[in-house]
Amino acid sequence: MRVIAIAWDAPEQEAVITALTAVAPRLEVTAPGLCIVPAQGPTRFYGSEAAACTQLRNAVVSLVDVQVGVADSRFAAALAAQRNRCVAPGKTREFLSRFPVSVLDPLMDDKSEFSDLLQRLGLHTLGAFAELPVDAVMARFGRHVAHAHRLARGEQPTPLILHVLADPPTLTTELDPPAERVDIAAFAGRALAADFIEHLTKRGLACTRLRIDAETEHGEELTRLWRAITVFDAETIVERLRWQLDGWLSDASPTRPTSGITLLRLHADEVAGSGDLQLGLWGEMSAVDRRAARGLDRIRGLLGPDSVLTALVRGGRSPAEQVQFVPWGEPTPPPNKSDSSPWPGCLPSPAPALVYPTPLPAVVTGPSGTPVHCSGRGLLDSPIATLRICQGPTNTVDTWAGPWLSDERWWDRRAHRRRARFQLVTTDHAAYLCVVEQGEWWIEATYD
Amino acid sequence: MSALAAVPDLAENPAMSAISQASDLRESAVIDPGSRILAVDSSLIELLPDRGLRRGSTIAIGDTPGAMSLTLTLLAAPMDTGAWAAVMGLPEFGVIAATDFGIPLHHLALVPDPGDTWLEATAALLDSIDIVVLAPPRRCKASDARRLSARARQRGSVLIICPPAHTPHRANTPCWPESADIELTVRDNEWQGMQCGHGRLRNRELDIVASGRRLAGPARHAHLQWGQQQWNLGA
Repeated sequence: MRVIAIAWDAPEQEAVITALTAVAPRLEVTAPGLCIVPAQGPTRFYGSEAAACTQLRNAVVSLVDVQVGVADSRFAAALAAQRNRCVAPGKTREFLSRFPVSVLDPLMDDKSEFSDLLQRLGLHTLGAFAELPVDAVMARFGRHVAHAHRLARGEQPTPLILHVLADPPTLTTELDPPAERVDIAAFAGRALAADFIEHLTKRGLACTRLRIDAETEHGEELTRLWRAITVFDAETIVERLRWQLDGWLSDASPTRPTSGITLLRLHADEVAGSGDLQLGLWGEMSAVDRRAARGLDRIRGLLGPDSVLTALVRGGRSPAEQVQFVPWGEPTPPPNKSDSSPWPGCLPSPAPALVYPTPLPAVVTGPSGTPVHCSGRGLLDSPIATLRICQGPTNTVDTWAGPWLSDERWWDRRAHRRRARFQLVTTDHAAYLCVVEQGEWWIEATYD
Repeated sequence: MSALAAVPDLAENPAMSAISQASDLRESAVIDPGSRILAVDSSLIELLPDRGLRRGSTIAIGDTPGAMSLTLTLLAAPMDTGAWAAVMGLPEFGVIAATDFGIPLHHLALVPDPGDTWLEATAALLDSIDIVVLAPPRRCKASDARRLSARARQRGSVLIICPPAHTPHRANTPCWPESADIELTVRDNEWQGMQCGHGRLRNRELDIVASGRRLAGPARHAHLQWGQQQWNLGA
């Protein structure tokens, strides 16, 4: 992903952003004096990256002297802007390699200690740090350092962990009386931010890009997109709110509203699952979560990268199909549309507590001792009397129910599967989920 | 490192000391004295001597039908309040059933196949995860069992021993070669809701018996009834 970063001397803020937004609407403010724009849109519109940069520069030439940088990741683009450099596609890692490791410090919790640690290990540049094997970094330092390692390698981790939400979390507060001053609005924003974070945390989300809307009594509006350096917590939201309003409400501002602020709205423009990498890094994780995450990273180091799994519930018919396993620490794939749609042939609750990764072969017989045959319509040629699993002892079946028929991918001759599922309870009170396919019986799960 | 060295039987094991060396970045376990007891589902309170899961204790689940559901019931309430759990050596863990019981998946880690390093990996999990569910392999020795229980006690985590589920047939030999602090066994387990060919599994009644070292006096019983509400049916 190509990214353009624009940097300037911090005191000028609001007028610069307004001017830049006219050129590149998807502008994200990272900090006072630093903006980020995904390069794709402006590049296509103005013909080339160089032309887009020139346009951005020209837009603010009368206000402030800006520096513009282009690179393959947000992190690298911000550094490129400090040097007014356009890093060619694919050369980002090389560009980063000469920087001292201390440029990573603002991203870490413990600030300066991290680069101290790397320097004590003899790693003075991002290039040397990036050379370390990924697995070794993960095993030795855990995933917050693995994230920094990814940045040092010139990768852009964020887009992978985006979740597309049908209803992005939004919270609004009305100010009555209207706030004429920044500190009054920020005070109201403090409670709003705390609620907002709590709301996200409850849904297992963390906000990585935030939209703050402010409205005045006379209907003037100011909307800004804010990109978190890591993820937003209540404190940083209030800080961003202050930055946004400071410029707008200052006497020098050309767009200064004519009345007080009556409404503040926080909108999670981009979120990541809190189980994803980012939350591993920063503030909002409790001590318990940090300890757990670190422990699981250690197990990964001990047993291998795919040994520790987290589970996601997806759309599907059988208990096995409804679950997707993702290695711990990997980005979670976004939910599918089909996850919430109905699945004909889906089994009713309760779900079985044990699901066999490979179904166990079974023999199901009728009262006469002959195997039970299931027709294409799910009709059995005799009642079910006994069940024998994996050459084990023969159990008497007390009661049974079914079939739940599934006719999958009937449009594809090779992938087509017809299956019928039955629930069986044996006389020793064990309940099984059986599936019959092409005359063969299998145990898929146990209602343990 | 120093904390581990203080426990001789852990430091003796070369694999264990390798873990301790690999983990010098680890912060020492912080155990909030206010939460020595993890709350459990109200139906199980009377079974447990502390009316909850005491941190540092080992709980063995008896090898009878219903063992896994009982384990899920034990996990649900503490995890709902923010505790983490890891499930070791149980590739058959029913994720959908877990969510039905109210277990938040983002605080659950699964280590389905730890292989030969199961002992070291479980010990490492006990360092950092509040509740570790272990389905021990058949070759689990009494000395290994004692070490893991000691590790749980020292780190303030809860070790739940769940019978392995490689086949649905339950062996009569105990899967845990040591006596646990508490042993919970599903004595009676009755499914309702179907008759030959009709209906479906709907309601369930279980009788659970608690015994063990930490339970003085006669064995305690609890009768559980699970119906639609317990399956947490959203639809």
